[in-house]
Amino acid sequence: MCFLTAQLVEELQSLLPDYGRINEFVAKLRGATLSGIMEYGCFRWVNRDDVSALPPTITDSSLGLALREVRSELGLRSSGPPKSPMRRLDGRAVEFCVVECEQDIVQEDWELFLLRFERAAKDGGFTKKVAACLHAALNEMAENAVIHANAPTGALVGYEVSEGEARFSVADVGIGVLESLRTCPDYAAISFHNEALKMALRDGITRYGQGHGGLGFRQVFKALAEQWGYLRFRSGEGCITMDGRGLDFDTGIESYPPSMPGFQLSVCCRTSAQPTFAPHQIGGAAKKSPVPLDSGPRM
Amino acid sequence: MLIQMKKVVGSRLLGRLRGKTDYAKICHELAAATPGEIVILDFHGVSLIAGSWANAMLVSFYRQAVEDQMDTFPVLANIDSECLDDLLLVADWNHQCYLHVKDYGNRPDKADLIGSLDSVQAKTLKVVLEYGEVTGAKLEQLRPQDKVKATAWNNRLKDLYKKRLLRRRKQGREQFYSPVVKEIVYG
Repeated sequence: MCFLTAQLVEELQSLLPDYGRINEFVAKLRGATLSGIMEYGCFRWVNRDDVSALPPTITDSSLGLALREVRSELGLRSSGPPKSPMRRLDGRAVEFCVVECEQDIVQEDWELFLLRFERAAKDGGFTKKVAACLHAALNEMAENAVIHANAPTGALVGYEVSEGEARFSVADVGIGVLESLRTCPDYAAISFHNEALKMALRDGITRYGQGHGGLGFRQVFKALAEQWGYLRFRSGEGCITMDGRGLDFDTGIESYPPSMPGFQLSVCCRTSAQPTFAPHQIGGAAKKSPVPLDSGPRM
Repeated sequence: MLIQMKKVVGSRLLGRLRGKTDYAKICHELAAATPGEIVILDFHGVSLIAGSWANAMLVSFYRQAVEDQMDTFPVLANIDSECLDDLLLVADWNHQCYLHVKDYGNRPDKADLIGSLDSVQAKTLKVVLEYGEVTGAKLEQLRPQDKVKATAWNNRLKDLYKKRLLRRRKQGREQFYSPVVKEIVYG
């Protein structure tokens, strides 16, 4: 039984250029995580002609159905009408949104998307304060994407909430953190993706120069301050993950995945150390996980 | 002048982009302000102020306040204590100081200072708070033990004026400085 996780996307990338094996593997997938489906979207955006679309086991899951609501080159459909505006405020278990420009972030639709996420987080057992902080953190991360990514296509934003667990991901295929930071003379000497990622996580570090912004990740760490969490930041050939409680910018573990354009981040916030459910595998419905969960968080 | 932030910009103040659009809204409100006026930004009912919002809105607002055309004295009111650490960070990065009051009547008389002053600025502020209204020459006269000339006092007073902690009025050739609020708690 194979589930599309962000880690699996890295493994699929490592099989390049053996598209036959990649597609054979993809066809057997039985489910996907939020970050898995979003990073796969970025992977496929780069290799659109050669890498196959996800199988119905994923596209027909509630995660897949929610992703099909939005028109995005990083999602499951890149044509057809855009997502219909939703005026409702009740929280949804899983939802996606595309942000293309600064204007999108100050529109009412975006505000309602964030409020639904917040409402879902409260329904999922998070306190009012933590839910509000998650709302703020997602806003900051999406804003970063539209301000800094310089991407040829809009950033894909998604959230997924179940009892005791709230996740969100933002994925873009823009210039990436390293190139973005290097546009600032203060950081022109940075050479490595992980070095750039680690820098960007610190307060006040932005391509506009020290102190001229760079407070977005602070909001993420604030949201997770008293929670259990799992964070994944991937850009270029760099990836930093963090797992535990009271996470901060200097607690990450570095890895060196195959190159991916842009910046993909995933945040998982939990009320307890171990997730009791793995809703992502069946696309949002809070059912018992069919796979062992003692192997640590799965993104 | 009083601006109820919740009414004008809402109860969640998040993000750089919202900060920029909210700055425009506040500027619109400021059209009615007169030079030298205290402008109270009351955050009562605002539950979240993100550093990114403050960096876009407040920093620009304070820069604008110093401009001759505007020349207003901002005072922040009723900020939730959990939002103060972000404001402190923003103040320090931008070398700004914010006066923060909890309760106020027609005019605030006691404020906490958010931000940092160097030792000379802190000492000068303490002296002004002690004497009320001063000039550089008067301070040289009143405090011979400090061995600071009137010109140096004037420069220090001007620094605090630019930080919007002191007000200034001109009488003849002299500039008189006085605190924006009677009592400022710092450090």
